[in-house]
Amino acid sequence: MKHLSGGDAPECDLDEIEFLTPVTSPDKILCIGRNYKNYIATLEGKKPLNHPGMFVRVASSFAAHEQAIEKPDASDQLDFETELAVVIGTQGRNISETDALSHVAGYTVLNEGSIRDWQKRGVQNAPGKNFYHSGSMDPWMVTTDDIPDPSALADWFARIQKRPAVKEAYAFMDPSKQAC
Amino acid sequence: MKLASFKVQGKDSYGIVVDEKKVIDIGVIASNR
Repeated sequence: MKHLSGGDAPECDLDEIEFLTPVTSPDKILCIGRNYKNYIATLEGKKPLNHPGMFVRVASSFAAHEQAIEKPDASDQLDFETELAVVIGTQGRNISETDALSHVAGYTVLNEGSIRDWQKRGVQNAPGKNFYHSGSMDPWMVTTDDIPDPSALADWFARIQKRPAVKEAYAFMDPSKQAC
Repeated sequence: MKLASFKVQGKDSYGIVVDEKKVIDIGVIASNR
């Protein structure tokens, strides 16, 4: 990719293209939530869990850059959250904690849009997390050569979310801060 | 490096934008995924 990016003139201008999500057909989108005790303590009415919350989103639940987010007819409770997305570049199983980052290709940002009342239907989050284009994905994936230490993103996320407690939630490189 | 996926409007072609400046149509590579 670095070879492709050097030397030759662009084949077209940015205004000629239609952005897609950075990974157009992900095999899976796994979402983790409520996994940091101190952060959870700042959330009204929330209690730490013994294990992190986990749910799956389908790719079509995210709009691409410059596409509209859609509020479904079924609800008026479309909400937004800023989330860091870790893009896995190398498949694997039974990966050790020390090798985990070597499987990461890069990072992007999600608007993890949710339909709140549909989250509370039944016992799974999935119904409220998978309405068509209810969330969105940043156009860019920043590769790990530019972000060798993802915990460095913690300050940035805490600043854009205006919630200092978020810093801990993204300092995920420090196992002592993980609840589970 | 910043990468983005795209398609060229009006064409059935996909590619990757590199670093917000250089747009490289690598439709052949993309179609092989």
